[in-house]
Amino acid sequence: MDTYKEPIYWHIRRLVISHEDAEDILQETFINVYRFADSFKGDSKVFTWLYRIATNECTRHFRKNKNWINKAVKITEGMAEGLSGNDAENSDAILLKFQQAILQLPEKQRIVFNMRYYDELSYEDIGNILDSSVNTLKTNYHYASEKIKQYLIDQA
Amino acid sequence: MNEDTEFQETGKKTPFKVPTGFFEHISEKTLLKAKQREQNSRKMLIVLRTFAVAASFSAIALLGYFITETEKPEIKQEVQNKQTEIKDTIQPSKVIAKQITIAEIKKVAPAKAIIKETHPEEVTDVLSEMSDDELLQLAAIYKSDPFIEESQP
Repeated sequence: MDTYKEPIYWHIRRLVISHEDAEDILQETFINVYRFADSFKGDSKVFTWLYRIATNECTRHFRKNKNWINKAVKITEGMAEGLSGNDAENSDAILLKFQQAILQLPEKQRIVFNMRYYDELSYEDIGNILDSSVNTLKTNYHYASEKIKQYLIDQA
Repeated sequence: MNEDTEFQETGKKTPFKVPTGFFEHISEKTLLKAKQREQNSRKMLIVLRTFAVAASFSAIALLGYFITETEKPEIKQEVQNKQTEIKDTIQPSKVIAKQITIAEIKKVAPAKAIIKETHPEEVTDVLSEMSDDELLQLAAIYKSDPFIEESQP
């Protein structure tokens, strides 16, 4: 758990935005890991298996809390309102805008973009996690980055 | 499309922060949560098992009670009484109908013959007191009864 808790937490946090939700999902992920440790056959890498469990928990969270996206948008808006004019906070403003652009994406594109852009996972690994083909994932990533660019241009 | 050169302005950073010491305590917290959940599920299992055992005992006790109660002689007698009561209430019309015809055959017809021989004046009195329907019925019985014919001189 110690090796993977930080990357898995950040993967979850980027998807759900709220720290409290991310903490709950992280705990749930590791409880599931302990519970289903015997079912891990070693066909895939450990981190791929962990990412898969964490991503499934996130999608379960999205289905269970239909209003989660509004909550996430409010969090980023609240963070943006808390910023003042100095340089460090200006860079935070750009990061927040970037996060808001990611939040506009459809669920699958958002997950693929986060895994590829932030976690720098290979398309093969993402394919194993999401049960998708490499070509589909490349298309998802391409559309996602185009939409983000367009959002940033519109908001500039 | 070169993914490496995309979004250079933002980089790989995120604006999110975590409370201090979060990663140091998350493992403990997770283990505690897992332990609590296991305890809760054990408690739930114990409650469910107790409930199942109690339900089985109640079912057995109830079954035993019904068996012993229905075996008692006074209950058996009561059941029989009830059964006859029910029979009586279900078939009263048939019984009455049978009783009337048999009674008429046995009582009215031979009595008539005897009365006719011994007290002829009383027969007329009896007949005059009878209604038209009763007279028709008597006539039908008289015609259909072979023994009355045989008893005639």
